[in-house]
Amino acid sequence: MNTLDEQLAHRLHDIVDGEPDSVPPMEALLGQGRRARRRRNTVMAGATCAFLALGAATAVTVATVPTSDRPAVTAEGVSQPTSPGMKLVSAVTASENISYRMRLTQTGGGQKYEGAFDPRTATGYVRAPKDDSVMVELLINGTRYEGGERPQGPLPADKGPGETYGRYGQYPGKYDRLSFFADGNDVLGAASPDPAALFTALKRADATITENPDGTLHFEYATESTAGSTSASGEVTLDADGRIATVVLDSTWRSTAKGRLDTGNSTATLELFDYGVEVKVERPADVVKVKQ
Amino acid sequence: MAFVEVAWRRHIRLAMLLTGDRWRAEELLQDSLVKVYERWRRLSRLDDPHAYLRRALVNNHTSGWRRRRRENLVADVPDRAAPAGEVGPDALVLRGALMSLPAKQRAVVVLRHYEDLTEREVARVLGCSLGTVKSQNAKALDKLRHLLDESSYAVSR
Repeated sequence: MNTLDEQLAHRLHDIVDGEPDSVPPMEALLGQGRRARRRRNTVMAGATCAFLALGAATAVTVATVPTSDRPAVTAEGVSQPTSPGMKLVSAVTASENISYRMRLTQTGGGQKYEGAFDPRTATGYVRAPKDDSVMVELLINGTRYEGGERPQGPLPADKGPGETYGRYGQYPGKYDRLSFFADGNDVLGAASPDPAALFTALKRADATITENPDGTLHFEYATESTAGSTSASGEVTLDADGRIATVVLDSTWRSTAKGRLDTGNSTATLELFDYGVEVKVERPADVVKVKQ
Repeated sequence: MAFVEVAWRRHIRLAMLLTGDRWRAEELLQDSLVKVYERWRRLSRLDDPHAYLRRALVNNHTSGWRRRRRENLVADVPDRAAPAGEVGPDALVLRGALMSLPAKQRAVVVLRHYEDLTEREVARVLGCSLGTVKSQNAKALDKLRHLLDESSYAVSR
């Protein structure tokens, strides 16, 4: 071996391999880690708020900014995936701490949600159109507002009169995620407001994660309780930057909660796109403070 | 905390190659371990949390990492300023040359040749393109060759 290229590995080891081992400063490390974790958790909120069908004028602006110069993976990501689970973790890591648009569509007449969210500023919105109103949740620097806007189409004959559109309830406290969808404990509910929670939810469900021949990821899990069971499978597609692009969840449930066997199936598709989008949300003009 | 002990042994030398001395390496590794601690609930379920730590370590270093609150971090006050460990003169020369490289080039060299990652893996760790890794590695090796005077270096081996 006569070239630097060939010898470099050995020479680099020569530099440091003789270094004596040292002991990590465990107490200081734990102390600083606990303080850092507390700082992260101070803005966490646990409960999901009930939706208020109030109303008022709201201006929501979402403008796309170029993302081509952004690294595909954040500075604290993981290295090249070596397994489907690792690949998913890598995608989740690449998808967190960055803004995005989202669309959640539930088949079979289910609800459709559209919105955008920036986890760095805890700012975003979600709209869910109903026949007599458009339910809206706004999050502005961690402050949550929920209200209802007039639907774009004509109101049904039996609905609408007496409705006050555009009035929003402002909830006390600070939140770091939108509350729609779910409480963050189920797969799509967790994925909707926070892509990073997808992996946690799948882990909680002890999901099996495999990779399809086309590179997409497949997961399956089953849960059981005294009142029934749920089996679900899903597909996760990544975008060109390795971020989560779509999550398709198909689930079948069986329940005996009503003293009989009920079964059902549902499919939901979550789309996450326009990563890096600039999310600006203006405070509604008509706000009522909610006491909890 | 078994992870911390294993991670410390596994990554301290990588940190030393990036920073050039033990004390800065320990600070860098400690800061990176704190980041892991903050996210431990999620990271503990990863196939390889060490890969996450390595990435945090390298990116902390290349993104302008600064020493901070050292007085709260070190276990013992160092009784000397110089790096520990006995190394030969060739290694000392190489260490000096390595430290003369820009932080990102140094990271490429260390990840590629010490950690033995592929160029594609290095690109993923650094969050840059494969082409950038190739060019940075080539520039770094050119500079190292120049600094080390490769011909005499090779003969000495």
